[in-house]
Amino acid sequence: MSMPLPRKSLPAILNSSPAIMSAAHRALAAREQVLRDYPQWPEWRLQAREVRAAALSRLEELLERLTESVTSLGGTVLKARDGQEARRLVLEVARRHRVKSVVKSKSMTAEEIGLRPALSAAGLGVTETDLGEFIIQLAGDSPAHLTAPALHLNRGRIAELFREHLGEEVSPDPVALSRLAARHLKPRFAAADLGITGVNWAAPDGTLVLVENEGNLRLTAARPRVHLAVMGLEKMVADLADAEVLLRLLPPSATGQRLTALVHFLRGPQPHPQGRRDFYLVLLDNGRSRLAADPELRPALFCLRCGACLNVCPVFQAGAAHLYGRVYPGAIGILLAPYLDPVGDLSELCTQCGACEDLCPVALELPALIRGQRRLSPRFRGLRVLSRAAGQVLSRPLLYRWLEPGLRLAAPLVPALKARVARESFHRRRRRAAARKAKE
Amino acid sequence: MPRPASQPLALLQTRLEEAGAVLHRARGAAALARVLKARVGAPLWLEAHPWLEQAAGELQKAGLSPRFAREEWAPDADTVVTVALAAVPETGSVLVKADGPGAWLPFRARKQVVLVPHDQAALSPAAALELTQRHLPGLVSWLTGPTRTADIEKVLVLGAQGPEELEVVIYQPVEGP
Repeated sequence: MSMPLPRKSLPAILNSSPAIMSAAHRALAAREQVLRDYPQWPEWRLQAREVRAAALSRLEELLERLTESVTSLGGTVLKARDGQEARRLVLEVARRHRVKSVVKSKSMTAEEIGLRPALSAAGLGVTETDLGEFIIQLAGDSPAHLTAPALHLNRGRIAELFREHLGEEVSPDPVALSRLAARHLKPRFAAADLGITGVNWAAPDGTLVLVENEGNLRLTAARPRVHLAVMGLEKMVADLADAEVLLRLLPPSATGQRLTALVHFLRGPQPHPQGRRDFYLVLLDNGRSRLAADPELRPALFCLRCGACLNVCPVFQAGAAHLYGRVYPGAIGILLAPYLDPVGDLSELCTQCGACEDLCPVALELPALIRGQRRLSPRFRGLRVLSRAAGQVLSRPLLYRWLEPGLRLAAPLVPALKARVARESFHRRRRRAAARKAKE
Repeated sequence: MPRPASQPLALLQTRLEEAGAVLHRARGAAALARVLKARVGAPLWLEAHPWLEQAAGELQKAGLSPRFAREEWAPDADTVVTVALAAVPETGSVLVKADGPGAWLPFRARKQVVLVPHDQAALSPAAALELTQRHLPGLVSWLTGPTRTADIEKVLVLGAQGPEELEVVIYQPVEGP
């Protein structure tokens, strides 16, 4: 079981709202700018959806082929059912190679399984090398956004953090702050024994596609003598050619770029100036198979983790990921919460405004999927029963007048009813609904 | 709207500029040396490639002391010059294979200059993916402008943890006499 993120106090979360809103609006404006040149965008979205659906429909076969390819190229594939097993496997690799120092590039999958805290608790020195992740590591925070982890911190606060942790005075200027961080990170790549990265997509021939902007991912994968990549099962594509449409959609949606500054295609262990380099690929399930088996909610696994749905979400803008208390926030986080450890129900954190659906690069019908999830949510079951009953009563004036005195007396009983309903788990409801459907 | 396919190099130039990179053209070693002389700083490291070996003499005459990458991590460089596989006008990207002694060159440079073979300068993304696949196993990277970050208040900073300048030279070698 993964650890839930520490919840911040509500005032602390809401204080960061103006910074989050302004950053989100800038990201949306950059996306709009690029999309003006892309009349084919709607077709690409549907194409991407097909590509993701096709890969998920034969996931087991593709994963088997990926495993064979990586192994035949001299790498090692490690399969993890959940976060706990993934952390144990990574720690075993670290022990096998006598790792003391680790550099890590940004990976939401690694974040999902709490990898950095686990490695640190085992006595390893772990450095986040993405600037945003480095900042929040110093701040002791969790990421605020899928693609912009330090979105909630302003330059003044970052300068304070650098002064406190790096021992250097620096002006609160983004250029000076970035240069200072890069100067401190540089020697850590050379000293690291293990480099940990995520994976954007993997093809059955063993090719991993990794996108980045800073250059830290390349150093993380190439500089230490051991490279370990952590990948969620759903990141498979059926063929490397399928990555084309995904690459067209991801950077504009995430950062408003046509393409990120660096896209790496990596197959097999890379040469190392000091001799052999070892390569490990950790394939993480952590609830994904269960989600893939759900015909209604499976499309949630199409997600590219671009974060566009966050930038437009009024709930997210009120307090970023910290409001959700989970690694994956926003509409996509609501859909993943009942499946990915630690399981939870966030379905109330949606206003059903529908803005996310217009932006999603894989055309996910996010509001409808969330409504589907609410049908199974214990939190919404009580409300639904009440609203249906109210509808019946209010549409019949005679019935209303007849019931009114009794309803007034029954009102105090409602919270007790709600508490009883909430005890029923999301998944028990899901199983029952599936059984009912099968019967029909 | 995307430019018509008949103007791929014009589109490449536009896209490179959008991404914060610069495009040049050179035909033959002497012309290449002239382009490089005007653009590079010291220490200057070159990938051990026949095109750059030809240009190195010219650079030396101009007072620059280029060094060729061998089997070690290159020390900090001002400028590195490497040879790419191809370019993709639609995205303003150049494809670079990281192998051999030059693989580590861009890691520690302030500026990266990339030579693109003139007959490979107008690939579609699909063709670029096919070419990438042909050059694997290994590591092929698509560079689209200098490295960057916008992690602090979404303010763009070029040269995050890699080159802060990227210049692309479409190069056409000239057959020897």
